[in-house]
Amino acid sequence: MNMPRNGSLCVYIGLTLALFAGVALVPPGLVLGRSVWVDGRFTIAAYREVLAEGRQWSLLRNTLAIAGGTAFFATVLGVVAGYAVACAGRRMRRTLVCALAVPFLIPPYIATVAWVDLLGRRGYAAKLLELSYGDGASPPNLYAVSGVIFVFSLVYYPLVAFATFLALRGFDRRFEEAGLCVAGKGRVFRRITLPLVGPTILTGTLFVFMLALVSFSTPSLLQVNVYPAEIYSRFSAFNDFSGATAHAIPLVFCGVAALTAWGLYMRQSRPWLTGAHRPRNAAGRRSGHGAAALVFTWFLVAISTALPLGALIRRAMPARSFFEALRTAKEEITTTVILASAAATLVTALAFSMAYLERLRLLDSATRTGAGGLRGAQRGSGGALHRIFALSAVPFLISGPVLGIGLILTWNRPGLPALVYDTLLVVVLACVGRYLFFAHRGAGACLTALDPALEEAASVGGVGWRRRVTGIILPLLWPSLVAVWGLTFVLSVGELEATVLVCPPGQTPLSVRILTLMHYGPSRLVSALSLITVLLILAGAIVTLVIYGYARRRVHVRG
Amino acid sequence: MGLLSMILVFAGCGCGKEDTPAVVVYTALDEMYSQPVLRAFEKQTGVKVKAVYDTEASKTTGLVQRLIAEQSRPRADVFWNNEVVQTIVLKNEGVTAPYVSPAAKDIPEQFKDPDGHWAGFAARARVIIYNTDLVADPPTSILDFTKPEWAGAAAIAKPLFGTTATHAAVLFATWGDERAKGFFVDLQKNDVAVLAGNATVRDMVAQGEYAIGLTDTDDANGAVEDGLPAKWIMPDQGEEGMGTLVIPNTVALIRAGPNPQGGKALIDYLLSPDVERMLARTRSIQIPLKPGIETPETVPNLTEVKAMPVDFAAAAAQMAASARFIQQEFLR
Repeated sequence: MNMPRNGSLCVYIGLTLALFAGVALVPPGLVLGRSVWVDGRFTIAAYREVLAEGRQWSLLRNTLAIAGGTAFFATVLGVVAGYAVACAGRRMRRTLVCALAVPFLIPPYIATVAWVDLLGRRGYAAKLLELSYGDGASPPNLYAVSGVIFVFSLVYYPLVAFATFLALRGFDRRFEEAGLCVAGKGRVFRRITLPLVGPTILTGTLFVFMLALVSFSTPSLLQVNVYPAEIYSRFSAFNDFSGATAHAIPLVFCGVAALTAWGLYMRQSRPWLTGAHRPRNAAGRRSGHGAAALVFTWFLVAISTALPLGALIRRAMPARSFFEALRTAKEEITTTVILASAAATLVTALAFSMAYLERLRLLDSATRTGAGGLRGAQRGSGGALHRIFALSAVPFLISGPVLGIGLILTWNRPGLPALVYDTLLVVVLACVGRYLFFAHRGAGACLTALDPALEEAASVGGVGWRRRVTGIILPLLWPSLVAVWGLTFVLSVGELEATVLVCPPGQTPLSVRILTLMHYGPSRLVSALSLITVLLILAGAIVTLVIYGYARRRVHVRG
Repeated sequence: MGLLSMILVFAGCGCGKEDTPAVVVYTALDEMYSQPVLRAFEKQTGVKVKAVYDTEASKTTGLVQRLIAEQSRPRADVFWNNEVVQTIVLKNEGVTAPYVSPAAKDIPEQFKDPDGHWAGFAARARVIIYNTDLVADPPTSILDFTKPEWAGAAAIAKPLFGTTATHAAVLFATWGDERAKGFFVDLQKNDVAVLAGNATVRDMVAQGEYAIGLTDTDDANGAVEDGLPAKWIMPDQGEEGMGTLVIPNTVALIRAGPNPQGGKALIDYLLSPDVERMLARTRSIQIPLKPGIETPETVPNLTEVKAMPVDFAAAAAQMAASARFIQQEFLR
């Protein structure tokens, strides 16, 4: 099948590339350019100065310890929880999946506020310990690297849990059974089970690592120095633009290193991932381990959900605080819903377009080289397009404030229409820039799992690319795209770090409003607004789940 | 839903033209205090105000960076800062424009820019807050924070942000590098705690985690009004004392802002006695700079406060150097 070359496809490709460049390439590029082009000449003095500072090691150590520690603990917790979900019966599985989603739906800065309330120096735990054991007793120090890892692990472990569940669900146990005929359990686990489920779990781990790597709010609230916090300090304490940008480079380097390692591992393991045709495992594989995992997971859900939400509710009482918060923040709530919906829609559309262009390119390449269709082509290089789209990680890795400055440099210039910068659209672009990487990976994975034979057959029958997209790809893929939409909606509601620099006058999202009010600590209003934010996210997640369920049923009926 | 939201993003966000152009103000003063003032301006003039407030995460400087980044096509008309030094940074970056408001004429000269780029109003002062359950005889000078009797019992906010950063820069400018560095080294040796912000200092002292702390009048007054076991005093008020740092709000016109006339009207309003009176009556008990403004009893009178003589321009010039020392040596 040749990659179709006609006018409408050219427009489609042009629009996709232009939008991708506008959110993912130009803002980081302009920031980088401005940091090395100072007073009309090229200089890397800021980078030299930053690298020469002795505190780089402590920043790198803290940043990597938090990202690595969170990835490790979230993976340990997530694998157990994912295993428990896979072992659960159908009804309990549904409940457990919903319960596991809640910790991830609480934005990290809100979870941090709640945990400070619980485990802080004057928190509920401290008071309880003091009552029980006297003055000397105190809870472990939350204001440390370990505290940040603790909070992040309890927020992000559901990502690994869902990845584990998906891996176990798509895993054909007949491989294990065949292996056990000739080898011991340990060897079968190492040589068969782990290579089969590892890549999907590792993808969850990678997402957790990336999210923890660039997060500013939690380390900042817990007073731990990391690169994103240092970038803020450089901007704010020193007015040092170049220095701030230079501090984003180690983040990009760490992120790219993690992505490269993941890519190499995935390339090796790719044949195992093409198993969409394999039968799903039956639910309810009860065992002693499974029961223990279920008990542990419910305990984990209680710790990661009930405790922080309980602390917020306790702080927000009496109930009239909610009505007061609703009354004073009506505009912010509306702005947040509009903003997050628009961002999720745009990022999903762009991510799908990018993934589809890559697929077209792969099909084209496979046909030309005789590699045997899409599956054959996937084993080879993705080409220039794949490498360009891999840069979608950059706006996420350079951290929110640097991306915010990049968006200002890109869109706020004389001659450009005010349509973008003077409206919420610039905040939408900030969210798109930050979360495109995740959406692109998600859309790409969904498209990869789609059997190319359908499209190939349609193409042979003379069906054009637009009809193939609207008639075959989108109807089959839209449950997955709904899931991608839901994920980016959730992330966009909580987005803060770039938004705070670009939100237009008079249009404040809820996240920014909460931070504005946090000067006075976790007050009643802040807690009430935080709970409203969580409810908004939950509502978005429920809508997504309902549409997802409906879409899946429709696809099954068609299938 | 997504398509509808995209339409709303375009439709509801500035594409429609308003009859009277709005004034855009970036304000670093806490929303709970600045919003009522801006609403009163709207009511009085009929001109709509669109505000961007600063957040606790970015402190004043998130807005300052934004103004610098937007310099090629400013979106704001007015910058209302809750301190001085960052406004001077903006002036030095060419972000502000001169505007001598007629309402600024009776503001003391030390709180106005000689070139007319900014004017001060409604000040806060640096104060020592102490826990009344723990302290009977509070310290009277910031130098007491280095004395052994307060070892491990005192707290300050991180001197990289907000008014504590301004205070540090002023000390560097007033005392010179050597003495100021020595002071911070002594603080470090005396195990003075460095907390996230002035509000945290207030909370920790009021809760008894620390006996004394250095904070601002607005934060300290909040603890007193809430009935917590805390009081505050102005430091260095004796005959030999250097006085306490008085930090006014400042307001500046943005160069080439979209609505300069509206911006000037807002500046005139902010510098009026009404606004100083309004801010004095809030929990933040801001101190009027203009003479003859009646205030509640809790608000200090500027004529009775021994204020530190400060060259704010020199402090602004010292800001980067003092912040660098503090980050690399004091906060290691």
